[in-house]
Amino acid sequence: MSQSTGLLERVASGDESAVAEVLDTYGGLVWSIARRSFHDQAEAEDAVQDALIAVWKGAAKYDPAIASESTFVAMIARRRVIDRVRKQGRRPQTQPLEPMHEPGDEPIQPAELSEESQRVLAAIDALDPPQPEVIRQSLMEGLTHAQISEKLSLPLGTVKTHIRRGLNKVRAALGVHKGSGVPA
Amino acid sequence: MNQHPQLTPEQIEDLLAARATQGLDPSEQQHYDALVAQDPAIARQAEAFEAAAASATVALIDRAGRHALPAALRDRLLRDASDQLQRSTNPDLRLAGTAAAPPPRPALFSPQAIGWYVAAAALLGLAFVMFSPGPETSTSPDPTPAQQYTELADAPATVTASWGFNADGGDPRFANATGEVIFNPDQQAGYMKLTGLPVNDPTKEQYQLWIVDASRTGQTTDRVDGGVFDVTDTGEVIIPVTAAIRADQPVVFAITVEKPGGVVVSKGPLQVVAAVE
Repeated sequence: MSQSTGLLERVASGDESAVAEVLDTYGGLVWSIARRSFHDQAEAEDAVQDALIAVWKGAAKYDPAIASESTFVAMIARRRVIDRVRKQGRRPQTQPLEPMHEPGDEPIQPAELSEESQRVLAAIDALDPPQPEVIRQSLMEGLTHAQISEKLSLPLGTVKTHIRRGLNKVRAALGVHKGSGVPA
Repeated sequence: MNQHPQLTPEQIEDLLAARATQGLDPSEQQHYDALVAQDPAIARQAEAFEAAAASATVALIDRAGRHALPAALRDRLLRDASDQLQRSTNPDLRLAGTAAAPPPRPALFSPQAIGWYVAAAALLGLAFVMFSPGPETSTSPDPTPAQQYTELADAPATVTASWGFNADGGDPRFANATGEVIFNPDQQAGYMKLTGLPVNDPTKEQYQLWIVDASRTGQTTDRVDGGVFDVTDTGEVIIPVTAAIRADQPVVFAITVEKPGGVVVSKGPLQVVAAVE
């Protein structure tokens, strides 16, 4: 069910050459996750640094039989970003980080979505409205459930239900009902 | 079967979905910690929700297009990674992925037991020494407890959890307890940093640490005895953890107050709990 490039295993074995490959393969993913939650470039960079150090330290825990490498990396990155935002005592920012854009800092369309991502997107797109939008605002914009409730004029309980059901659909699409083996 | 009569399965999943998407506030975290302490399977269910959120995030980002990592940040990360790898490849520190297979677990427990049973004989071997974080003496070449703590915290595979009062059944006299616990499943070693635990009279009662081991879920010994200890100072103390038997996947640490010498089966409430992040 998962795709592995063997990069994390190489990092875990102390292969320094794999580090640059991990950055080239997953650095943009982690950066894309962090930049959605922080207005300030320095905060976003610190969050990325924090997340990738956790990836280096946790690489030995990666199990390709349980999750894809990208899911493993994204899970660590999301955890670190959520923790960091909460420790700062504020919620994720809702506006894109346009001021911190560097020249050439534009989205890069991947050549092809992974088979796992295709299944997950199919599951999200098949949800009844407004569940796909609720999921997108939560995961892509970093909005809290309360913020989504306000923005979409939905009762908070309805938002929570949409997110629970949406994630359960994704779980079903992944065929994963067990832990991911991601370390703290 | 709902093992958590105070919450419906949907409410439990709402909590896990919230944890995966926006994190938990302190009261929600305490509720989560208590749930995992009751049922370690909840921790794996929580990870499945996190994995779903992560996988969906990857898919949505990839459909929209990833942003490139800034070049200066990439250079900094490369330097940091090199430092981390040098530390992790130190033969004294590098354990994850190269450690010998753990010895088979002893079949010491009856299938009818209900979780808190641990090897009574193993208790005889427990030796908990409390360290104060004072300065190292000039005659001792050994690292201080604080240094040992830092070294273990940086080791691969070490997990970390923050102590918090168990508002769901704990005695209010432990409400100010804070700190952190680290544990390395490969080394089977850990340390607790604790602040605000009341000083105990060891002739009357002692603290006892328990480790909820998710790798034992389904067995009768999912809660591993982490040993008894005393607190002699309300300031920060560092206390080593020595699991009586292996704990390969610690998910929650919990402290109870027991009679001197500790107990094999705890009937007391969990006073202070810490869920692995």
